[in-house]
Amino acid sequence: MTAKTVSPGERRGSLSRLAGWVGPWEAALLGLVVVVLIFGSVTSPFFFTGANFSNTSAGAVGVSLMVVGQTWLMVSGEIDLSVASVFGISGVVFGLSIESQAPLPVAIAIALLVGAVAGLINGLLSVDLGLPSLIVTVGSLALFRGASYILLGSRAISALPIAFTGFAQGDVGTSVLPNVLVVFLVIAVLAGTFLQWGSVGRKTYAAGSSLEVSRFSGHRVKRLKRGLFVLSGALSALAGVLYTGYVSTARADNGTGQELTVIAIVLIGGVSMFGQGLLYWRHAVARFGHVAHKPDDAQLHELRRSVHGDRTFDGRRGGCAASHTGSSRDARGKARPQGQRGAHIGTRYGLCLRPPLDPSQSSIVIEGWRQQ
Amino acid sequence: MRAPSTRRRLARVLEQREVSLLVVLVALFGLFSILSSRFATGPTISQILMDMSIVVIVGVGEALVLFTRNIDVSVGSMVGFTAYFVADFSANHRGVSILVVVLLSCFVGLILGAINGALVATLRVPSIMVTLGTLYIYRGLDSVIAGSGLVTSQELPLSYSSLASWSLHGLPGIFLYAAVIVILAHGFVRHTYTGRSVIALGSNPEAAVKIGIRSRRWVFGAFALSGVLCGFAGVLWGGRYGTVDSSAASGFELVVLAAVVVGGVSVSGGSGSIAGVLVGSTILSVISIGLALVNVSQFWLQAIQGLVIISALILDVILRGHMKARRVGS
Repeated sequence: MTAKTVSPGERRGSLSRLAGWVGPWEAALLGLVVVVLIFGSVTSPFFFTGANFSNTSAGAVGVSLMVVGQTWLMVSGEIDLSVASVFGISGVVFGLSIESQAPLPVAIAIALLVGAVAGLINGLLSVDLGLPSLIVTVGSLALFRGASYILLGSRAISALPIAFTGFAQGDVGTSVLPNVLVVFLVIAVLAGTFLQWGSVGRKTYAAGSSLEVSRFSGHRVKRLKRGLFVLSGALSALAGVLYTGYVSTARADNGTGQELTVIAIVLIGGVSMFGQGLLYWRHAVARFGHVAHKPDDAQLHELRRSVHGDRTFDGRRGGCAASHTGSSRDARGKARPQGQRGAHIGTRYGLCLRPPLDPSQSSIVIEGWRQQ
Repeated sequence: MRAPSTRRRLARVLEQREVSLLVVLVALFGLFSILSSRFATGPTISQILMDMSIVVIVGVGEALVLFTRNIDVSVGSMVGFTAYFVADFSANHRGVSILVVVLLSCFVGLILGAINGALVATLRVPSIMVTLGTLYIYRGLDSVIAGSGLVTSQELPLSYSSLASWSLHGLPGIFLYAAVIVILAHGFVRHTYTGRSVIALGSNPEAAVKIGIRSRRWVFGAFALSGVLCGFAGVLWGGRYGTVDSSAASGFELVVLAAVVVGGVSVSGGSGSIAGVLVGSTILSVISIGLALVNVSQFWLQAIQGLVIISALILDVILRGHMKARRVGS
């Protein structure tokens, strides 16, 4: 999951003005959304109506909120597959709190807390123990979903406060804008702005594009990532609670299988923006801000050069930074300075590449080839 | 080079992930045997073996893909698609030899896997993106050809269901298929040049390319093989469960991924073994069957499986840390 940083100056001119404004990928997505809207309007008379907009956008808010947290995490180079299970368990906890006569704000707070703790568990396991988050969250996906089943079994809780279900299903005033969509937009706009403008956001990009450089720059990467897991958990919990209100039912299987939809949306969004075609403006804003923020990327690049010689290295998570592979020539066939030849790098999982001790000997010594 | 002392050799054996997993497996087995008198009996064990076999077969393919530092999340859809396609074909052409049916299934799987492989290897799109896309595409195709249709065991020819239900001295046939695949794959990964290349590729892609390993070819090969194994699992799926509809094996990718990862295959490539996949699948199977036998509610099953996955990961970290500390200390 390498995070793609947007380099605004690229490929301008040949593209349309719109593309220049929001970025070619985002423009393509926007075009696609327009095509889908037109197709929908042509094929069904009920598609392009206020009621349909209200229904579909309110229904999509659950997934969309999970996308917000996931985007931050994936930009930082981590992934959270347990979002849909956190979504489920927070709805269950919310329902159970209501059932045991807790006041509405308390019930919501408890559910959000459960989500944050779930996120913290993911964060502690993958950040502090250094386990791959893809796998940790496959485990916690099963764990949290299982916990929802333990808590609620096959029951459903439908006796939710009218005030809450009314909010979750209702529109703002007499408009067709659902309340929950407003909640999502506020959160997404804040999250988008901070990701692009805030120092936390820039640090997140930095952590995702190169962990080593971030660490050398004095960023507290672990704390950042742990925080992002908590954020993802809390947002999934909020999504779960709102969805519970929207369908007026807390069930243990709410949102099962949605994690892949969430990941798909983030990936379609190019990781550098929110998917679902709802937040093109974020990049429009980023365009305004790019002059002020350009130095960030440049500084990062400079730092990479200083840390790893004249070539930028592979910043992928878990990857071996094979900037020098032991040959006396680098990738472009340029002879490297003599002083660097002693470096012993590329050791990972038993495959060990070592530069030849004798310069005339051009083959690469492979140690432990059979012992793996 | 000095010959390693016995103690060192022992330490090296203990360091292997499979050994710590075997310890977990034996402990679980002992625990369930104490808790339920019906656990350590022939029927239960053959039930466990049957339960894990399809996971093992698909898991071997998944492991090969993970070795190359890629991931295939479309396996559930590939199994589901081939399961319906072949069961439907078989129900409509009852005269066709079962061998042809199996080969057809593997071939369909090969095509699906090759599409994944071609996209990943030639277009250089991240594999999680490609296979997440094909997960939906293959499942969608499955829904298109299946509709709301259902193939039941009555419609299938006898040879089809006996493909998965025969047994040899109590060993289920379906497990024997899995065992043969595991042995072949293990030999391939451990003892052939190509197999070592696949590991090297995931271990350090750049270095592997520099020493002349054809990276794209083997990435493609791993995905294609994963597809073939999914195709084989698909035909067994119909035989094992009798009823196949368009939602067959949905969500199976997470089961497979869990088994493979509990078995110690690293998602960042180049590490793990086929034997680990076998042990990992066995552990998950022992837990699910064991819990059913000791009358734990099915609601607990998923949570406990999740807990096992996480514990296996933590245990591995602790064991490795311990071993490293001891080696440094000595």
